[in-house]
Amino acid sequence: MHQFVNLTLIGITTGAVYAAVAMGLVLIWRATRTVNFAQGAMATFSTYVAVTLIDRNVSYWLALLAAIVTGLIIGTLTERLLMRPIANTNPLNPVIIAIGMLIVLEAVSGMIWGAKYREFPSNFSVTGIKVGTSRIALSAFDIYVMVAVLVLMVALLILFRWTSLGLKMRAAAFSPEIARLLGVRVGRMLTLGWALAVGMASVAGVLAAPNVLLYPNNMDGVNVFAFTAAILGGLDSPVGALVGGLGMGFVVSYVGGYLGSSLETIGGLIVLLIVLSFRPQGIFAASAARRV
Amino acid sequence: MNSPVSNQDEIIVPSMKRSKGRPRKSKRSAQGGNRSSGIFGVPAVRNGLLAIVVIVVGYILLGKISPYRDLQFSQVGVYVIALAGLSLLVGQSGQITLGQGAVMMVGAYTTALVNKHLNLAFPLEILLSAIVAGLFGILVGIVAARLRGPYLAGVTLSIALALPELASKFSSIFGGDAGLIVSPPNTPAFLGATYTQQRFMVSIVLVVTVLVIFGLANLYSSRQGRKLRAVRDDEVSAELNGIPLAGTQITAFMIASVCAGIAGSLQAMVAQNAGPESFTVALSISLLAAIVIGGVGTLGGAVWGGLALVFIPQFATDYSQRLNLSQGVVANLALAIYGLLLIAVILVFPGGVQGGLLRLAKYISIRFRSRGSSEIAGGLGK
Amino acid sequence: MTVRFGGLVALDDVTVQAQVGEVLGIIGPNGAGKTTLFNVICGFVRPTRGSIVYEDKEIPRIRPNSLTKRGIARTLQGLGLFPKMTVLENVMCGAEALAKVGMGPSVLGMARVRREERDLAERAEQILNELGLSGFGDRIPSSLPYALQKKVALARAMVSKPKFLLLDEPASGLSNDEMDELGQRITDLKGSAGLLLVEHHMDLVMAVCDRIVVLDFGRVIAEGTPAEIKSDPVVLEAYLGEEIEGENYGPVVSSAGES
Repeated sequence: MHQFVNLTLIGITTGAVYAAVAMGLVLIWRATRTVNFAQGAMATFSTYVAVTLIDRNVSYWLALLAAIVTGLIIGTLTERLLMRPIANTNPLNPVIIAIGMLIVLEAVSGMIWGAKYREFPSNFSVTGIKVGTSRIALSAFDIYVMVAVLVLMVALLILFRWTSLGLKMRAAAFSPEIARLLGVRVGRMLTLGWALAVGMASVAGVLAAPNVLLYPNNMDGVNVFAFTAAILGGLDSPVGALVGGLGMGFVVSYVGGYLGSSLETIGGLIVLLIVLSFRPQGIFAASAARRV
Repeated sequence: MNSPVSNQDEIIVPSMKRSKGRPRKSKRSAQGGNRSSGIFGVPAVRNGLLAIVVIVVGYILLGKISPYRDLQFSQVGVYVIALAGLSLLVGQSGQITLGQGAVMMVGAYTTALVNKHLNLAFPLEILLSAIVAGLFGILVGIVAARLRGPYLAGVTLSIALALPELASKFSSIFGGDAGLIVSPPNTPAFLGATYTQQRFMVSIVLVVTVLVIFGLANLYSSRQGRKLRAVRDDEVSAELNGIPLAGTQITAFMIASVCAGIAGSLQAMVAQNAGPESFTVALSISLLAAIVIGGVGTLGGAVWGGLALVFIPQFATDYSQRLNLSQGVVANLALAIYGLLLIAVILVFPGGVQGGLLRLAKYISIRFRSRGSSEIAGGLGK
Repeated sequence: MTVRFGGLVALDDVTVQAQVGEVLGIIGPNGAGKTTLFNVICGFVRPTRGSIVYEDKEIPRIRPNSLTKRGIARTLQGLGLFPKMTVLENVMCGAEALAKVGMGPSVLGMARVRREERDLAERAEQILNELGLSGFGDRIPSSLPYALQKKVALARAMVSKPKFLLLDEPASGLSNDEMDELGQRITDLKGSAGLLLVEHHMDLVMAVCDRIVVLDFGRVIAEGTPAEIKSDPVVLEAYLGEEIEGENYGPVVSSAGES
C-alpha cells in the first residue's frame, strides 16, 4: 500500500511534466496541424540556458524566466523561418523539418555544453515529506512542479476561453480563411501559438531537469511519453493532453515500480496500441467522419 | 516528343516531391506501339543485366580497396537495403515510420538466435530474418493501416523506443545490453587465401544489395508500385478503383520490413554482434533523415542516403579533428550536418540528391535535344 | 433502404432501381441525400435498414474496393484524380480490376508482368483516344485544364468497361459546350451500360435521362420521365421552397457540393 501511494504520487509529478509538454504539442497541432518532434530538444536547449545562468549565480526564478524567453524565441523563429514557407505543402514536410530541428538542437547543445550529465539545482527540497513516521515520495519540489503546471494550464484556459486574443488564436487555427476575412492576423496567431508552446515546453524542461539530469537528449524520453500522452488524448484536445499526461505518468510510474524501469517504454507502447485500436484518433477527439 | 531514356532510368521512379511525373520506358513503348523491345523489354532481363554489371564492377573495385574500406562499404550496403525499403514505404505509399531501425533489430536478433541455436547456411539465416521481420512488419502494418500521419509516427516511435529495452530486459534470451555474438559466414576455400573474411562479407552485402534493389525496381515499375502510389495520392479514389486500402498499406509495411530484416541480418554478420545499442531510436531517425536527404520515393535516393550515413560522420570527424575543435564539436558535427541538410532539403532542395540529379539530367537533355531536334523530328515525320 | 446518421435520417425508405441501357437521374436540393445514396451503393455508408440487390442477388456487405470487380464504377464530386501520377497511370488504375499478376512475379520482373502492363496501357490509351485525350498520357493531371481533368476522371471510370457507371456531378465546372459533349458521351455509353447521374444542371439532366428520381430530405418525392418531372407540382414546390429559403440567406448556390 505504501508503495502504491508513493508510485501514485510519483505518477502525478511525472504526469504533470508530460502534460505540460503534451499541452505544447496540442497548441502547435491546433495552430498548424504539425507535430513538433523537436519539442523536447527545444526544452532542453532552454534548460541549458537556465543552468548556465544559475552557474553564474543568477537566481532560479530569473533563470526560469530566461528559459521561457528562450523558448518563446525558438518557437517564433521556428514558425517564421522554417514552418511558414512549407505551410500547405505535403504534410510530411513539417514532420521532417521538426526532426531536422531535433537533430540540430541536440547537436548544438552537445557542442556548446558537452555530452556530460549535469545536475540541475532545484529551488525546493527534493527529499520526501514526512507523514507520521515514514517519508512519502512527495517533496516540496514535487508540489512546486504540480502547482506550476496547474498555474500554466489555468493561464492557458483563461487565455483561450476568456480573452479576445485566445478567441483570435482559436479562429485562426480553426478556419484560417474565414479568420483572415474577419481581420485576424492569422500569421501572427500561428507564430504566437508556436512561441507559447515552446515556452511552455521550456518550463517543463526546467521542471523535469532536477529529476532526469541534464544532457543534450535528456528530454527524448519525456518527449516520447508526452507525445504518447497527446495522442492518447487526441491531438486536438487540451483536456486530453492533461488527462493523457497524467495517465502516462501513472502508467510509467506503476510499470516502472512494479515491473522494472526497463519496461516503462513497453508499457507506454502497449497502452498506446490498446487505446488507438479502439479510438484511432485518441480518446477526446471528435470522431471524424470519412469524407467522400 | 520523348527524351531518350537511359537504362538506369528504370530504377528511378518519380519522387514524391517532383511535380511532373515521368512515365517509364515500358509504358512509353506501349504508347508508341511499334517500338520493338524484345527480350530487353522484360524488367527481369533489363534490370538483371544492370544488376550483373554493377556486381562485376563492384567486384573489380573491391579488389583495390583496403580492409577498412571493406567494412565501410558493407555498412553502406546495409543502409542502402534498409533505406530502399523505407523509401518505398514513405515515398511511394505515403506512410511515415520512425521505426525502421527497430525492424532492423528484429532481423539482427533473428540472425543471432538462428546462428546460436541452429546450424544453418548464411543465406538461410538472411532468409529467415527477412521472413520474421516481414511478419513483424505485417503486424505493425495492421496497426498502421488504421492510423494517419502523426498518430502513425507516434506509434512507430514508441516501437523504436521499446524494442531495444525489451532486448535488455529479457537478457537470458537476447543477451542483455551486450547483445548476442554472431559468428560470420565462413569464407569458402576456393576464393583463395587473399580473400579475407571482411572481403567475403562485403561481397555478400553487395550481392544482396543489388538483388534487393533489383526486386524493388521491378516492383516500382509494376502494377504493385502503382497501387501504392494510388493509395498515397487519394485513398477514396484508390478504393473506388478496386485497390484495397488496408491491404496495400500493410503490404508496403511488409516490404519495407523485409528490407529492414535483411539489412539487420547483414548488419549482425558484419558487426558479428546483435545488441540493443546498435538499434536505438537515433538509428531510426537517422534512416528517415538519410532517405529524405537522398531522395524519398526513389531507389537512387537510398544509395545516396546510404553513402551519406557512412561518409558524412567520417568526413565530419576527420575535418573537425584536423581543425582541433573541441570534443563536443567533434562528436556532434555529423549530427548537425544531417539536421541542417534535412531542413535544407525540405526548404530549398526538394527531392533530395536524387531529385537534384534528375533535374540536372533533364536540363541537360533539354539543351541537348533542342540542338538536334529538328532533324530527328523530320526523320520521324512528326 | 434507410440511412441514419445519429438522429439524422439521411435516406428514408428510398428505393431506386437502375438497369443497363438506361440513364437514371437523381436530383434534389442540396442535402437531399443524393451523395449518401451513392455512398451506400459504393459501400462507404452502411444502410441502417435495407439492402442492395445486384444481378438478382442481395449483396450483404459491399466494399468500395470490390465495386469495379462487380462491374460498377463511380466518379467523384470534384475530381478525385491521383495528383502525382500521370494521366495514363491514373487511367490504368481504373483498370486495376482487370489485372491479375501478383506480387511475386512483379518482384521478379517476369515477362507476363510486362505483358499485362502493356495490355492495361493499351486499354487506357484507347479510352483516352476515344475521349480526345490522346497525347496527354504523359502529363500530370493538374497541368491540364479543368474540363480535361474531368474527362480523365471519366476515362478512369470507363476503362474497366463497367456495367453500371455512377456519375456524381460530372458537369460541375464545365462550360455549356463541354456539357453538350458530356451529354453526348452519356447517351453513347447507354448502349453498353446503365448510368446513374447525380447532377444539378437541369438542362443536362432533362436531356440525357430516361428516368428521374427526385429526392428531398431523404425521401423520394417524385419519380418519372423528364417530362413528368418537369410538370410535377411536388417537385416544383421542393425547388421553389429551396429558393425562398435561400433568399433569406442570400443568393442560392445551387451547384455547390454537399458532404
